[in-house]
Amino acid sequence: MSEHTYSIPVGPLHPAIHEPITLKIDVEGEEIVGVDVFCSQVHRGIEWLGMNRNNPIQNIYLAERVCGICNVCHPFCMVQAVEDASGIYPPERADYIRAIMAELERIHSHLLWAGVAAHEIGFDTVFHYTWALREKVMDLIEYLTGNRVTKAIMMVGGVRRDISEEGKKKIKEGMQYYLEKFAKIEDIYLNDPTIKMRTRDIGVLTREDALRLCAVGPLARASGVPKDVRQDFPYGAYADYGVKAITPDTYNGEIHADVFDRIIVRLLEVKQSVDIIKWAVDNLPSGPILAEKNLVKLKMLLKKAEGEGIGRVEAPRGEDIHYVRLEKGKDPYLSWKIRAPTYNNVLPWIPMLLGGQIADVPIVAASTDPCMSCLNRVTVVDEKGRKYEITKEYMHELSVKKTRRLMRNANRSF
Amino acid sequence: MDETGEIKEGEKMKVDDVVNRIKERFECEVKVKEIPCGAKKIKRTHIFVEIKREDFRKFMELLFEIQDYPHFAVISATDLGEQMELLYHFTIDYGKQNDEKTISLRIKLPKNDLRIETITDLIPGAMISEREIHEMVGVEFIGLKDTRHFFLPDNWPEGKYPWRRDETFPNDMLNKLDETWKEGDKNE
Repeated sequence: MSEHTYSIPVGPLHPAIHEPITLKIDVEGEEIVGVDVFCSQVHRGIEWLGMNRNNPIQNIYLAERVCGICNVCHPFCMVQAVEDASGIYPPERADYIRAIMAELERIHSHLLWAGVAAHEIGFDTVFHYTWALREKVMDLIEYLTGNRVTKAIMMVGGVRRDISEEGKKKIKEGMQYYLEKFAKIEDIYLNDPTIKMRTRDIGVLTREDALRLCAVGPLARASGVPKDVRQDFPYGAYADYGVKAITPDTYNGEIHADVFDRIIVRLLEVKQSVDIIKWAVDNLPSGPILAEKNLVKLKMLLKKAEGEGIGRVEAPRGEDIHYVRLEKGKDPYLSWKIRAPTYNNVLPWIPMLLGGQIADVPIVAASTDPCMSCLNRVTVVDEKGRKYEITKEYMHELSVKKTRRLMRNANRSF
Repeated sequence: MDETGEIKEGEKMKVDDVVNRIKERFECEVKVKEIPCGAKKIKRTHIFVEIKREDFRKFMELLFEIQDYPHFAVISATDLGEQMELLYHFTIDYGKQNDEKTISLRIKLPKNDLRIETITDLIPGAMISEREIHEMVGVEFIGLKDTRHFFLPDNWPEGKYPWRRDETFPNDMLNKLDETWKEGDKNE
């Protein structure tokens, strides 16, 4: 490390994801020359509670609280693992309803992310417009499950709520709304010269690095790795539909593996989700939604069961995997491991940030995941030991200034 | 692949091929679990392999022969009393319609010798998981360069492992929320 290198801790709470995370960034001038990641702020011990305190039914609601945004995919993943371990498999109709719920979640999550990304580069009108669009899917989720956030729809061996004929109609209306608005969203994000200037060739993650670091989800797909659990690994109703993983070359024939490509992938996935939902509603099989309706009996069956299972789900951020092992005669699991997508997408931050600028940290971090709520305390320590603080607001200001600067320079050249 | 998205015979790498290749090289137990889903009842495949610790690196070589970059998902650990069981979750054949398979590699380590080689030299993406298992159950990964805590705080007491079911579990650290209150605390 040369004497001109400064070390900037970004944190202690996370700059972009649902787990509190600290980044230690070494900079020389504006350029980032070293990155280290720390995660030890708040480990909630959810797996421990599942292994020592809760019964499997209680764990469904605990799994739902792993992440506020992905509150369908974690319980979805966990019930798959428990079903696999106990042999209580869901009926067909439940598979389809699960897929519909997971896709509704993807739409809201990707729109939420797109809004945050726009905010990070200083486009607050776009941010508000995108989040206003997101309200439609939130209303739909509330209508179908009774709640906007923790939906409590999953159950071992099925789902807890059916979709009525009226519900089908409402879902279709909602999907029609998104199809109509999609052209505008696409135009805003993909044809705007400033968004392109701020995101093209920024935060590049090469295909090689994505494979070596086991990146998952839109991050891996934007780097040209066609990994998508919905495509690769049959679960729910996805194998019946035949999902195709979206890589940026399906849009414009090129792969730059940068932040802009991640925008392309996520926006196209919103449209793909709309298609999947419309198809699933049209082809919803009739029949029961639960393998075992009696909750007390189900709990007894799970207590008697012995075995292990793996659940895999394509969450909005990538592959989610749960491993569950049941022990005969005991309520809590013998073993439970949750691997959320961000777990694998943290290490790719290092090659993505190296060589970049501080002003790009928010958008690069945000390009892997949306939630920027906690980038509030940033301390800068200079080489002489004098301490001063830069806040999220200051970093955001830097980012906005860079956008303005690029816009001015672009205008001059016209 | 035809228009309906179904894969014709011959395009798929057969599960049996994978199982046979593993059985040829190693004396081990291989379990295959196939689970149908949806209305078409297309199956997903889980492969569980149990091997000896000595064969671990050789198995990794085989895995790299089967797949250029085997996808590493996570390591899970189960306390079996006398032994600690590690389960490495990999997937192969990703990126192909309905053809991905999980390979879960099971290795049992005796509690008095919790050591195993690292795989971070082959798969750098496994670093976080190895650091997690290191701090949560106390397995030493030989060759792992970065052994700092990842999820637990820096001041975590040494020799205490929260995912163990024996005397090393930090029982005395449970239910201490009331002790955070101090006499004269205004924010009670």
